[in-house]
Amino acid sequence: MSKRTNEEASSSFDAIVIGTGISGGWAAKELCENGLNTLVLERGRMVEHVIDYPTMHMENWDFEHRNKLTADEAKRQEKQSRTGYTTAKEFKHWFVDDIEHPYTETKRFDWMRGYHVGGRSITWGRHSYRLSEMDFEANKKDGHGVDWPIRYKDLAPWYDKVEEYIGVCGKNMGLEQLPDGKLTEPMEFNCVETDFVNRVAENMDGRVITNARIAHITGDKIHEGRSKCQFRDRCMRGCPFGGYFSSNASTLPAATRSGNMTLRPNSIAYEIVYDEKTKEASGVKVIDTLTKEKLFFQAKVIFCCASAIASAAILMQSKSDRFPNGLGNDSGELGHNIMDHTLGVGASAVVNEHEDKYYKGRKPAGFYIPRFQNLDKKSEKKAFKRGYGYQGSASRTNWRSAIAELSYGKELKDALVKPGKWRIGMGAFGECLPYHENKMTLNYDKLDAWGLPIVDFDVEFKENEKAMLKDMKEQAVAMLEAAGYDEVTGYFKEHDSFPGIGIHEMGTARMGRDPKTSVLNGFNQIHTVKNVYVTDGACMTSSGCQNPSLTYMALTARAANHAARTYFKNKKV
Amino acid sequence: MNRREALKGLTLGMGYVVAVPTVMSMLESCAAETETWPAVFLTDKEKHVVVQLVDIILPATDIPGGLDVNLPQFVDMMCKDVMKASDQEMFHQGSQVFAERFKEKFNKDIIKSKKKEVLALFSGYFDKSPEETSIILRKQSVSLKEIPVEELQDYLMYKYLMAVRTFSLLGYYTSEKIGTEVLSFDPIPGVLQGCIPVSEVGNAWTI
Repeated sequence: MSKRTNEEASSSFDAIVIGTGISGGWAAKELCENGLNTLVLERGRMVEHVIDYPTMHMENWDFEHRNKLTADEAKRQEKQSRTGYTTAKEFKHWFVDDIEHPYTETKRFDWMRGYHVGGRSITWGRHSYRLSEMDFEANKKDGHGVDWPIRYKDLAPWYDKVEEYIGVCGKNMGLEQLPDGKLTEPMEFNCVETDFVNRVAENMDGRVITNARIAHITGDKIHEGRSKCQFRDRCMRGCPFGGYFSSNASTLPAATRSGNMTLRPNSIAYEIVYDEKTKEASGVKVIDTLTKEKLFFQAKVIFCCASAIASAAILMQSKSDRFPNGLGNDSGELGHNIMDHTLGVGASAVVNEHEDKYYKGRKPAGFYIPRFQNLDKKSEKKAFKRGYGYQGSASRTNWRSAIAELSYGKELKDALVKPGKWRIGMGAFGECLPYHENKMTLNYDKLDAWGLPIVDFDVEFKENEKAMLKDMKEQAVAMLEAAGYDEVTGYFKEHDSFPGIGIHEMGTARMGRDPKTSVLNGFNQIHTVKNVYVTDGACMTSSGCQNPSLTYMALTARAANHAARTYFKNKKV
Repeated sequence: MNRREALKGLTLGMGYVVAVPTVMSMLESCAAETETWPAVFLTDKEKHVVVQLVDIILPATDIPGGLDVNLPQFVDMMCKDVMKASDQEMFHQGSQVFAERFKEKFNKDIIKSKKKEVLALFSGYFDKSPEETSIILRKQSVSLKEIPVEELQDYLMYKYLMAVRTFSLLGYYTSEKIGTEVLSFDPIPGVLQGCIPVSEVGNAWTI
């Protein structure tokens, strides 16, 4: 092989990974550790672990407006603020400027995202639950969507690998609907949570409530460059201790250590180039956002990990004679079947007990209630298919509980410096079925600052989701009542719960057995362009009700090792 | 406060002509004012009342009060920077309603009010039964357009008083003084103990 000039060397790689979030970080680590010279593209700015977490050590009083956005700042993040928490001053720099990064909505879709190295792995909820055999079989059994091309056993060893590497604490419960994992010691319940778990089990036929499984380090296992969770509960700001898993704290440093990673921030991938001769992709076209230059990088393997929506948008923009409707889109399913988890429903109550009890440490998560509907004949529901789980916690209220009051004076002031009443609450995450008509399209009438089409959403929850939402509220109320709590109040923000708000968007390039009805095969390869892998939320064939990041990581690790094996096999030939 | 600032403040958004004697008497009352900071949003009249309100909502006891952590200045800044323009307008309108009612009750301009008098007026609107409270708060949660004309004055006045109250609570309980000297401050707990006696901690944790 002739010696390349420097310029050529810098534009040709063994592999390219698009995106640095939870999936991209894993693709980078696995490909680099397998010896592939890998270019990792990130459209946003560089974020170096610890160094670039500007608010990580700030106290309330260090924020001039006490963590509130100014009216001018709020105007730039009107969509990003739809969650009610994402654009607090402590986090706002992890979410895009909506004016600079617009999208359109045929139907309302809350697309929450950040453009920076690490992506949403910095701000994710960290809850980590495996999909079960029940989830992989669901589509086939009830006929919604298409069958997953894999089963639980295909992913189980990869779940093991990922959990051990990222560190997930929690408790194995031996449940069919929530497989056991490689977990470290759980974060202990507080007094009220312990009661709640016991009372619901006693009064509701053994219904299981368990410790949240979250990607925080507990126990004594060594995780290079990271230390144990310090119970600050300021996770979304970025953790200076690396107490929870993020690409920045974990997978990207691992890829760097391999010596095989070239990380390129400020690089928007906008097209994957298809080569008619090889019938494979030859590389990725990129806009450098600092120089405005258009560049082309070649590679033998390409991983799309830009997020469900962005990966689909890149594939849709990758048009050629062979693929006039977007790369790999023979089925017409690209950009369709968008799913998210339904959110915004649950219940809360006042607990007039344990007034002499408190806790130390700010626990980053409380309890998890695994799915209990439609597991078997006994729990079968007529009104809806599939199921849902809850996340919740109990804590003592603080001064904020007095905001919606007319109280004032000495009594109020002195009462609010004491621990307030105990409250307990939970919110549900419901499975969303895959519907072909729930789709995104490219809007060429409105181009962004780089001349690229913006995304338009046309997605809605339908009858199954709505019926399930009703049950989610009823069951939340029933559990709190079964535990004997006061002022039990169910909530369902029907007019305020739109797809996207779960920030679990998925399904835009689903895996499947049949190229006529799916985009990806069982190893996340585009059926007809085998050197392109899509391993973020786009690949999901069904949504389950579990927080999906753990599954994206396991699928990515599995696909990256498949890609590396294939790469070296082809090289020998 | 100098004369120029006083005049500027008075004309800011008030929409009516101020007679010279009023200005003179106001400047006299400023002499006794301990709050010397220049307001960026509040009119002089509003500033005078907000100082009284902060002291009514969060008075000093054996622990510091709202005035000890400069809440009036904080409220002024939050109104200017954080409030939407439409809310700012309602704030000014509401403060005017409160001032008019003060004048009806005490037959003098609110700029000359004493804390005792502001409290007498304020308590009439805030000493409410739980049922009355929830009606008032529910009305506050709807938008201006949906308020019937006959309830407009009350709506705006509560908007104003509740804004002062909300910013006061926020500013007080998230202040450094209260956060480090009164509440239990532990920025890096390091350990988790799920169930311990309150007596081991004392006051609520600083969040």
